[in-house]
Amino acid sequence: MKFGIAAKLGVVLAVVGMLAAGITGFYAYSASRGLLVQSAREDLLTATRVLSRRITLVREEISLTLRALARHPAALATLTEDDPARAAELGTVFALLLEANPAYFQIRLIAADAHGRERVRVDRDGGGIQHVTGDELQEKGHYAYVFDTLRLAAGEVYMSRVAINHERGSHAALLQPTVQFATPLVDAAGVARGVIVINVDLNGVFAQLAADLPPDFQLFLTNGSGDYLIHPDASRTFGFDKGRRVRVQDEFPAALALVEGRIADLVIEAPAGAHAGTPVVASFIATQAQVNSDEGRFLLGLAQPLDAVLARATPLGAVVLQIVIGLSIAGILIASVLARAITRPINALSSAVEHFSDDGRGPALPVLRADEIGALARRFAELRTQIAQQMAELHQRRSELEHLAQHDALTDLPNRALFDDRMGVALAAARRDDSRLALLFIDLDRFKPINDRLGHAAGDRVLKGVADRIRHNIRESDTAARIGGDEFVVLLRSLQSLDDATHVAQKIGEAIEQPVELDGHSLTVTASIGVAVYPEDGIDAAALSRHADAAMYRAKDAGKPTAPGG
Amino acid sequence: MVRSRRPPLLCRVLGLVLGLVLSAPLPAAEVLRVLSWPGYADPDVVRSFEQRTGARVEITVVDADELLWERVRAGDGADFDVFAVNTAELQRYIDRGLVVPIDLDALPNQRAQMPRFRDLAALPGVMRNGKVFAVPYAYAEMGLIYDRRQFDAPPQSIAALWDPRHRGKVLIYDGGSHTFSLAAQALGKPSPFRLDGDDWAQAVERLIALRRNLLTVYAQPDESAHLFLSRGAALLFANYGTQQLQLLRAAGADVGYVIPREGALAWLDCWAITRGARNRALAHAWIDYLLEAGPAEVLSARHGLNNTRSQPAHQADADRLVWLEPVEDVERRILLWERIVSGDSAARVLAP
Repeated sequence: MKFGIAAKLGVVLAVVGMLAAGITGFYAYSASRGLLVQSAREDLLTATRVLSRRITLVREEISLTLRALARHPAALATLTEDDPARAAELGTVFALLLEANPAYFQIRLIAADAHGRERVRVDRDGGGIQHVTGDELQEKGHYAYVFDTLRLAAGEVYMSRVAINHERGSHAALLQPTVQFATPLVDAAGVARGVIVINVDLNGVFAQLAADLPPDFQLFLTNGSGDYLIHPDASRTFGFDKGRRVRVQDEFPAALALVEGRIADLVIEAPAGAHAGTPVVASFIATQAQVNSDEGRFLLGLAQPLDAVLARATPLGAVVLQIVIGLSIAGILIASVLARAITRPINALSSAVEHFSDDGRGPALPVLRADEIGALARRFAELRTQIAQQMAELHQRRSELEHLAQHDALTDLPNRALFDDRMGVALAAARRDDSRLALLFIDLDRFKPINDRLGHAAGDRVLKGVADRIRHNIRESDTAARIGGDEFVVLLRSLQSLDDATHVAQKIGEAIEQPVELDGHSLTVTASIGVAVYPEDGIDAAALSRHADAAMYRAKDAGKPTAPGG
Repeated sequence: MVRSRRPPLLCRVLGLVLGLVLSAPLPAAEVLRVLSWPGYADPDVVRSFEQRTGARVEITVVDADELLWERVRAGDGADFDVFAVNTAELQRYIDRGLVVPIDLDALPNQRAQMPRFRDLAALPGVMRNGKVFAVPYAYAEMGLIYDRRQFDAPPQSIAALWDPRHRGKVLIYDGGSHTFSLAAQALGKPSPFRLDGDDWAQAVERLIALRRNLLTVYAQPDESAHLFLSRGAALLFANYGTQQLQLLRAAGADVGYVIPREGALAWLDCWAITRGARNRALAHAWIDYLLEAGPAEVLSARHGLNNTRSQPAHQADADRLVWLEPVEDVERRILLWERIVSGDSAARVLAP
């Protein structure tokens, strides 16, 4: 296939069109995708803040419960009066609370004396509630939730670090992520006599809080140092308890600024990692618990798979793709139409050049266009006209030259060359048709004195007059020629009889003898005519010429035309 | 059709492969596969060795004894050439035949080590059947840190941990093995690592008494420093040794550090060569290099660990270091300690 301008131009235009459509589509899609992610980031951050607020509410509820318990009359009485009945009464209250709050592992009353011996203790154990008594009660004075809480004023609440509970004998809480809340029991003298401690099941609390989050959301909680406390992959939590820390800043490096307290919240897009098999959008915020604690600061995080966020962009992508394909097809069509529009006049010009002819005609040119192609066409049309004119002139010159070459300039009769040619043709025809022809030799008598006496111009006019008279007395199919100064020959074709030749010769002779008016003189010229007839007087041109010549001289001598064969 | 001048794909691929094979460099530099701990083979230390020997060193870092054991045992000792291990852990590697004896003649720098580390027969566990299986490299002892403002004179003995004057102001490490060793030292037992018979009940009784004298227990160095400062503690059993001392001093605490007369428990890390080492001469060169002054200085100045060439300032010549050995029953020590620290009475602690 010929890869012409039209194809090249079409391809370039189509590619440009498709590129423009594609790039526009791509950027439209990217921008929309970015907006979706941005919106998801904001939503996620809001959700994280809401969750954080709910955690605060849970903590405040626990604090309220502790304060209520601390004011329960049986609490202080159990410590000061050592009354088993009051202890049992308090145990019942603890058990009721445990039943009402599935996230509580354990509630205890611990004395400040006797190395922090537990006085009332109710544990969750499997599905049930267990009252712990006797020598199962333990000394807890060396735990921070006891010695730190004892230093607090009445009504203040202590919160422990979130840790794996290694306290043996704690039933359901053993080896579970736990946080202890405690408040002191202060007697009338202002002396802290003991503490009330609630062990809270971290996972239980968060299971309740996260219950109404969308199922593909992932929850993260770290302590102030970034150690994971809650993570979608449970094996990554409480790494510090297993001798190998697993921290949020190791998994999400951007979280370091949050851990170090340089920023208050963070939203990131993270690649696939331990948190998920797919990239996620994650939001982290730092929260500070308003309680007495070594570890009141936490990082709370929510992550959503990026796929889920971008799923909303998929239909948009499909629409954009359709638009891009549509625009591309339109681009291809427009490109092909445009390519044709540009190349058609060029093709017309090309065709006009190809089919150029000297008659000035040819395919129509787009001369009416106002553009460059129109100008080119007009220039070409002009050129074509000029060439046609010049060609016509040339043809005319050539035919004139041809005429001059074959005719006598003075009389415009065929010259000897043309006459010989016609003679040959006529002889060939006569031989083929078995017809007759005649050759007449005409020589003017006493012509030289006219030239001498009246001048060459007069002589020429006489010769022209003779030629006209000869021409008027022969048929069109016959040929007369001037072959010498005052010698003429005539070829008569297709004669019926010998007499016809003689008759024509007489007519010519009589016509020549008519007087000629010349500058006021009346001049009479006579001619001697010899006739030769094919085939009687010869069968070729030479023989016929000799015969006619001889006959002409005889006639000149006799003063009259000689008959053929004579 | 225009004939393509390009040779067929297959020919080109073959040509490429052939070219690569023919132009491939001669066998690459020797590779030394090192299984190390954080701080034992810093990049600059490794680079210097590589430049000197022309060998390439591949460092794999482990940070737990069990991880080290898994790594070495997985390939039956063939995946690594040389590794660092403490003397207590080393025993099971020797038992399994995963390590080979070390040729001390190939370690001229050993002569620069302190006498305490040159006398290999006196170090527990590095020799067996007259053969040396490991060369000491780094160590740390567990001394006592005390608040100078609360002590008229530095504590001389671990008995200070039980001193009622410091009640509620003592911090100890939350670990079963070491606390029972402490109790055994306090009881004057011949070996802190071998309890039997009545020793257990005595030790439990001592540890319950210790519990009642405690502020609390700690697990991490930074946690111990925080508790010491914020709760006004007086005495600290420094499981992490000088690392904790540095932390407290950096925080501005006026603290002292002593090695009690009963001797400080100490761990000792050594280099050992695996059975599957490809180039034992190179492995020896690595160990010898690390005994030089440069790497030793990196170990002490950069990582706060003691090297084997020079005596740290906090030690006196007479100080006794009790090199850790495998204990008689680690699971029992842990179980009993967990019961003790949970607040149980002696009877319940010793219950089956």
